[in-house]
Amino acid sequence: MKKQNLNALYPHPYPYVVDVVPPVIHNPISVLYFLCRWIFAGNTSPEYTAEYVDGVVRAVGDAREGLWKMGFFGKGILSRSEPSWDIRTKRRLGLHVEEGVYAPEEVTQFRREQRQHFKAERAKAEEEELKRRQDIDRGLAVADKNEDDKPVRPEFDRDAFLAKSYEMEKRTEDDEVVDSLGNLVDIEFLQLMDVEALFLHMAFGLKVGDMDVKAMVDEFTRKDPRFLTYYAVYHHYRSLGWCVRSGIKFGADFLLYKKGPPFTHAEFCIKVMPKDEPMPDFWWQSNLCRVIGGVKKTTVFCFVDVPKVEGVVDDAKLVEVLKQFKVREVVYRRWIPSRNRD
Amino acid sequence: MAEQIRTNLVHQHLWSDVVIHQTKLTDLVHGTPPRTLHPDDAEIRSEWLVPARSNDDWTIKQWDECFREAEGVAGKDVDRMLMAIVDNDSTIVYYFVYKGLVKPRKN
Repeated sequence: MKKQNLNALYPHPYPYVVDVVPPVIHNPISVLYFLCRWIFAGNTSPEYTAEYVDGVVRAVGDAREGLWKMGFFGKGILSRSEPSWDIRTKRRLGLHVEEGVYAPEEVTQFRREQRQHFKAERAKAEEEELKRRQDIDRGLAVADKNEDDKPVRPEFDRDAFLAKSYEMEKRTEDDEVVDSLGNLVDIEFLQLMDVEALFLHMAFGLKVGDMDVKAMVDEFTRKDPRFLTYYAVYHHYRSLGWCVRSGIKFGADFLLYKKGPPFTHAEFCIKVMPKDEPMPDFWWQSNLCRVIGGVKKTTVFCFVDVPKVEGVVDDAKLVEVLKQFKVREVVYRRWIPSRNRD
Repeated sequence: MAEQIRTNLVHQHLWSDVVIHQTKLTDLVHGTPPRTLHPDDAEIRSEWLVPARSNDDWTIKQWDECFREAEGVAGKDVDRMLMAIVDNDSTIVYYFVYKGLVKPRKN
């Protein structure tokens, strides 16, 4: 399979489209062209909407695909990140899937299987090589030319592999998602974290039902009294250009990606430490860092000075409040004397 | 929250016979996974799950009560449960919680 050009696939780091005007050179036509483009430049940035149902923010309509592709916001409720439940389920139930389209979860599953197979082959080859050398030493065999029979990564047929891994009986539960015509009903939606919803509303005009800043801050703070502290941290990293996603898989608060999950793995795990709350003890920190170290990421303790917030936090006040937060980072790294000598 | 966990188990992780039991302490979810969950399991076993949020504080006493509630519904001994922790981005992480000490697995 050919490698996709990720930069072409995801050209926009935020749900905002920058209209590039043509250059002006010493030519009256270029000036005219520039003026036309400048005057008639419309706002081509998408206007996305979301709704707030059962205490969670769901992207509506185009926003499901758009908010993922432009900045990697949200998560498909039945997928690892990007909504891909429909592809997986169609393949599993034997419904039509476009050729060459695979869910990221399927690609991972496929790669793991391939690697496992490769490792087994390599172990077998190494054992044979050992036996051959022992035979030579004992004079049972002659050393012959060095053959190029290193194990190679096997080429698998993806479709055959996935068909086999999905081999399970259709469950009665599957009837819930197939309509009377035999088509799949897509029950998945893109869920936004509360911090993402407020950020997208403030920065890019995302409509979340009919909620304004005040309504969001009130509601999100009711659910989590430390909402504003987490929002300040989220806003801090997002405005510095990081792609910020939930870190619960590794026991942290946020994960920082340089560009987004399709490009690279997350490099940093953020643990938010509000300054006025008691510090967790060393054993707790050590446990967290061993988990994060195990997935080759760096632990960042993010100490936050939380201002006293009084009265209503509306559109204008939120900016003032955010300015009073102070965020400082401390990186924790486990030091192993025998491995850190150079 | 229990309903969210049920949807996740049934449609993402392909569990069967997932039922929500309301007890006076908390909702409990019961269901059967498509394959064994732990390498030491001899066969597929049905599991009990306790819904939780990522910012909850849990005590040993509460766990003791959860086990007792599950045993009340099951009518038999329950030696392990799964803690299903729901995050604000819809991620659900599952952790085993055992009743008492369990011998660690050989590497």
